[in-house]
Amino acid sequence: MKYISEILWLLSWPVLMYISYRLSVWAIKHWEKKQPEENA
Amino acid sequence: MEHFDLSLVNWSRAQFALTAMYHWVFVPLTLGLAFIIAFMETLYVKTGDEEWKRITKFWMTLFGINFAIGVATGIILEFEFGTNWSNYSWFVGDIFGAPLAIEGIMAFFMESTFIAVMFFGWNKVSKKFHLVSTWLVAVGANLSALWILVANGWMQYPAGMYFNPDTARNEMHNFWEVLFSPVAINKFLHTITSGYVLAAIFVIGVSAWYMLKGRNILLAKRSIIVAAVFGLVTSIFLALTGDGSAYQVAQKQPMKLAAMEGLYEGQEGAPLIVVGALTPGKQFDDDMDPYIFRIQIPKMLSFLGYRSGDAFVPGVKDLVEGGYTYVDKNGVEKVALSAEQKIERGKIAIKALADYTAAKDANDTVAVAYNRALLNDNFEYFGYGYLNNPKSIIPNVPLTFYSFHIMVALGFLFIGFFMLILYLVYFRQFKINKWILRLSILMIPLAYIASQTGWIVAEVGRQPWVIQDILPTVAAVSRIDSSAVQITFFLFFTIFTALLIAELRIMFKQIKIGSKEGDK
Ligand code: HEM
Repeated sequence: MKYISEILWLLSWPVLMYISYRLSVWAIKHWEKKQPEENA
Repeated sequence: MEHFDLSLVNWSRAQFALTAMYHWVFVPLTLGLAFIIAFMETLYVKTGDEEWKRITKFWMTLFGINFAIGVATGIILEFEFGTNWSNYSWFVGDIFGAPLAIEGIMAFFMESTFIAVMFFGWNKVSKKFHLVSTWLVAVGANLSALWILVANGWMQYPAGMYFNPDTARNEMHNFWEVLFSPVAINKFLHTITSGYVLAAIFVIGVSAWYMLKGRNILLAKRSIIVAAVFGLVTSIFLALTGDGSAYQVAQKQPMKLAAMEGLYEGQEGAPLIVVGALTPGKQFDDDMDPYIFRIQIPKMLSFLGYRSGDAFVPGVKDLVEGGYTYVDKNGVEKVALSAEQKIERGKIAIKALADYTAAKDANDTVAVAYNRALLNDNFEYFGYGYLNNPKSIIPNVPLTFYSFHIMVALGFLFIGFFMLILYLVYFRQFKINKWILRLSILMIPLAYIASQTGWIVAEVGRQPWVIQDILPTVAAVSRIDSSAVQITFFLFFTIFTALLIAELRIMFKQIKIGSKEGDK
């Protein structure tokens, strides 16, 4: 298809958002596990 | 040849630049903060932890203030297309109008509906519906940016159009080609990601202030983690999309690339300047060394621009004088024309258009066919016909060069900054030195500087064109009295500055209030 590489490139945007979201949730959980007393 | 009032052109440019730069003070934060808020609210809905709700609401207030002023300045910008650039609007209305109309619909219907739910619906709609609204605001704000950036991308690389000599307008023949132009897609990705990075830095900076004050600690720590992760991922992507943009510039706007790098003499295996200073007063045709000093990476510019370390990158001089060989978009090898030859061919195209119209009025079918063919043959250089001096195809090299290098240097600094913050969070248990907290606050203005310099590269670097090779800025301007533009310039300057001061005061106030609530 003619615009395939542009469409794929554009789709990197939602993928980027999803990855960022998952990583920040993971980062928060990881930190909370390490610092239980602070989040009590 | 028509006479152009340069003072009118300059004042109109100044006014547009002023409005666009002020508009861009408010927009990038909203693009990124919207997603950070959406992440935070999702954490609230998933964990049920009320603290997340409070954090979400706090950042939402700052988002709202920015959003309102962003919309206000954006509307003025859109009006200026009609008031100050009416020739341009006439010339491209057909193409520019469609994305802009879609943007209007997106912004007003999608965003404003869900923004209302986001701000006022906390206890009125279900948690899930509220969350969906917040996500839709984030997606909507970014999608509305897509359309204006598609329009901008089209001006840098006019794809998917044809010139209709009967109406003397550019008309769209393929919407998909306009939307999926590689320039537009790269521009969209690079621009929105720059907003994400800026918002991440903003959130870290404000949170660092709380930590310095010893207040709102949980809000600050959680916000720093979410923002630093978001910032690190998106800043890497920002560098990637920046590389994509530079590649597009090399293909479609070689003069802009030469200006970005201060490259006067083209060469094979051209180096990339990492740090450097340009010789003041350097002209394209003198023998001065363009650089006072430079640190460079050999062959890197050729590699980034053409994906081959030995490729020839034309410099400013080559682009003015022509004579080098290049491969055109159909893969055919060609010898580049000089600016002077392009100007000649542009003048032939403009005259052919006038003769075509006259022949049509006189029902002279032979002359109609002849002039139409002549116009088609030379249309590629149409815009050059409005220029008289080959030198006028050179943009402001120092401004483009320094802006580009500041943006890129800050881009790498930001990647390092996010890494440092995450390191301190995870390996030093949030024991962040006071100086690093202060530095984090200082990063906020730096993010705004990177963002503004980005637009300077894109817009100053493409001068003298409003539409690359087709319409120069001098021919796009409305023929109004230049003193009228001067007056509105100062008027807008005063209003925008007042708006900015008001915004900053409200933001600072909200940040202080936020901290008080969090003290308990
Ligand atoms: C990390 C390395 C970076 C590279 C290689 C890079 C490259 C580029 C290039 C080549 C352009 C011109 C595109 C055009 O004229 O069409 C551009 C524009 C721009 N850049 Fe960057 N950039 C970088 C980092 C940044 C950073 C850190 C920011 C802001 C936080 C930023 C914000 C912008 C903006 C707002 C524009 C104008 C819109 C556009 O044309 O995309 N850039 N960048």
